[in-house]
Amino acid sequence: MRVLPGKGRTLIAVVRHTLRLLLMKRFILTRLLFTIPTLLGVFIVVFFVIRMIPGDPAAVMLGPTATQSQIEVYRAAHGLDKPVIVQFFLALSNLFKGDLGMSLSHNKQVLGLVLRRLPDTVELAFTGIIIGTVFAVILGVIAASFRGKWPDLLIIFYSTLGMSLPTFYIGLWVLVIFALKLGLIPVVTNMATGLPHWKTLFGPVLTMVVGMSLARTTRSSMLEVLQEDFIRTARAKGVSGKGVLFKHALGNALIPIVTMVGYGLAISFGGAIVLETVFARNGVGKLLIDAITVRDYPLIQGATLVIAVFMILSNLLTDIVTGLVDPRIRVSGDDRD
Amino acid sequence: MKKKRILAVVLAVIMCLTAFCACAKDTGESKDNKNEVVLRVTTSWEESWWDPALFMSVSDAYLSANIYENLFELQSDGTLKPQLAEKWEVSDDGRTYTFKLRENVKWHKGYGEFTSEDVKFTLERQSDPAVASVNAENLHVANIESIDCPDKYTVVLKLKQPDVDLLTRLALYYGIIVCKAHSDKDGVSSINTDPIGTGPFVFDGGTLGIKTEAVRNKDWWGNFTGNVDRVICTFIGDTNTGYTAFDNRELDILGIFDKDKIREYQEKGYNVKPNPLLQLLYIGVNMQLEPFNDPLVREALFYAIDSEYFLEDFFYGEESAVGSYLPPNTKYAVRDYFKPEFSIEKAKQLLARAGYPDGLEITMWGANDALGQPPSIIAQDMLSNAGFKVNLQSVDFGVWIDKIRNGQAPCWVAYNTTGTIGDDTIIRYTSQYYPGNNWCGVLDEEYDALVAAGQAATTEKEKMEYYHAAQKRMMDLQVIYPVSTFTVGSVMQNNVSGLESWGDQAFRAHTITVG
Repeated sequence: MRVLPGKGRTLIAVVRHTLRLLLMKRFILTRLLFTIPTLLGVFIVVFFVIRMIPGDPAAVMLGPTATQSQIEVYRAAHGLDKPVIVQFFLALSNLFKGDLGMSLSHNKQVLGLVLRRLPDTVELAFTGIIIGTVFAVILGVIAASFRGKWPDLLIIFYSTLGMSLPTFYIGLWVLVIFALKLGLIPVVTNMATGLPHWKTLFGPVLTMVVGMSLARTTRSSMLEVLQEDFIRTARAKGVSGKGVLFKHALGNALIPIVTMVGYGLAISFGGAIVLETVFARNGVGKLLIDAITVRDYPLIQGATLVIAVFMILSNLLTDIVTGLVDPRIRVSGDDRD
Repeated sequence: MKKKRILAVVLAVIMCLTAFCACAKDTGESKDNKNEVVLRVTTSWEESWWDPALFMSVSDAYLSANIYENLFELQSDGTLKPQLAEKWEVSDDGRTYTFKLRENVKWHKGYGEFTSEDVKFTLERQSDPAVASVNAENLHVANIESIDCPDKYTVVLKLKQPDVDLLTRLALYYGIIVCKAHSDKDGVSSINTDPIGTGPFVFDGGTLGIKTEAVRNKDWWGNFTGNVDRVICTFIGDTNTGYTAFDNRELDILGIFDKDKIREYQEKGYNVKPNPLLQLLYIGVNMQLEPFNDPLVREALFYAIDSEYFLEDFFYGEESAVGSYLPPNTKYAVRDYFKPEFSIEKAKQLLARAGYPDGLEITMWGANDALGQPPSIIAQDMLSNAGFKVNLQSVDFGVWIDKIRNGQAPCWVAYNTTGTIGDDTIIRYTSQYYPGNNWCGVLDEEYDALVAAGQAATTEKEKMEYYHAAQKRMMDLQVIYPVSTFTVGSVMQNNVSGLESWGDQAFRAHTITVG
């Protein structure tokens, strides 16, 4: 099926394209197969790069007062006294068995540690991105519709402010206003009991939403599409303002938005460290940064690997959705229209 | 076609629901019942261990200090109070210690009675490779010749050499007594996952580094002077979040090292209890590295630092001067030897005599955390006024410690963490530990001899004399400029009282009253 430029997509057409993409087994399988060498590459790079950072894990872990013999005992107990190449092959062979090793700082299995914290991060990432996207797209469409007028200026101001302020600063203000002044949410959700689940997410999600730059992207993309000939044609044919915006313009403006959302989702898995610190959430980002600080090699490797998996899956999801949004994107081997 | 459409819609809905529902935590359930008095505290560092053999500092014992107990309890004045040991005797040659244990003390969660076998097990496991203890050296386990248990409540410890500090070591975090029956039944690693103690509070679940809870031990042998039924300890990594949580009354006690913040809370009428740490702020140099291998340069540095500014302005008069490189609350500290003189002119003259009339470029290393950075910057400024052109390297802790331990840092600013006894700190500056623990590169025969004599001393008085002499010699070498003590303030909600300080800096929930 060809999609003529200028024709709006009906829901049926969207669903048809969804199914087509979902049925593109070769495309998805190939991408998933490529995940294995990608993850292996990530593992190898991370393994050697972290060992190039100055700082002996034993000395860092045991602190400034540790004696040399205490350090040596620690290193021997955790296999750090072996040559690096030996450590590498040991870690690699464990990886193939699904064992990410033992955390130096927690003395627990890395996989268990990461999996315990993963739900916090996944939940925050998905919730923040979904809510933030909906909100940003609405604002972006409004801004584009009222270009040059006060709604547009207000939205640009809000968006610029959100992008300019550091995340931790926004987060602290969210805490001060909604926790301290209004008493709507606790500062530390970990200690609160009988708390509705949405309140544990409110603070960090709101911070994510305020800090997203998607409203500007949506606005820019919409303005570009609204200049197109097919929009003029639609207006000439008597399509209502709403119809022009939502049936014709928004669909075509979605591609850069989808790309940005996909990118945002990918980095939020590992980049939520600031949110997790400010809101005392125990996610993978915080786990990773703490592991780097104390040179917990197995935990750095394991957490990075898990984050890489989610980033790869996010990219795959973005590609699928991009194809859904724009059926002009063809996948090799699929000749069906 | 219709089926496919429905399928697509269902798939989309499932994806959205997954994001919201799959990871929902159970925040609705609470272990505490509404009649419990709950004490809510926080740590800003992630505790990682429940096993005392793996504790790397007193900070690791935060909640553990309420679950576990020692043979003795160290008081803030350095004296020992009976805890699991009611009485003890030391032989005349100082090599045999006989402990009479407290009877009818129960381990938590039905693990039976505390006996002499638990003491023996605790000490012997320090040498077990499966335990991988980092505290065998702290306890001087290598000096133990034998441990006998003639009966259930008696332990006889024979040492190879006298150790006048043995009792203090056993009172510290690495001398915590653990349960043999628990390890026998549940395995070596069980101590690190489910702490079983004899203390006033019983571990009641949670994850270290996130949130842990302990509930009152109704069978405890001691006396509760407070009314706390449950302690909840939550990790809050961000200090501002900690302040906000305290202001929102979500925390009952908060530890603060920021002097400005302490003043702010005091002015608001909160009770802030000072807790002097076993740390001091100091500036150190490596006398094996240029330019500090020149005594004139070291002397110039000492004249360039204005310690009064640190004490009166930076710390608002809440810290004290220090007599040596050991904090004054350390057992072997010399308390009044070091008396610095501040003189920019003298510093410049000394630099000129050393061959640097136009100033001298040096690199100073500091840790880039909230604690270490401000004094580093102040020290840089002071030294610059005296002709030192200071290149301040403010780096991550791991890099910082790497540079210093490997003898690559000529000068640094740090908080010197010392044990309660202080002998380890004195010993580390002997020649055998360079490079490594002897950060200052002290290769001094006189110092080595004094320390060796102190180690060999068999009475406390003799040890004290030698260690004091060693500290004075070290201060004369001018490799460590001790700036001040370091105190943390514990701010409490107005309905909280009874917080006491112990020599080991842990908090004890059984003395605290809430409400």
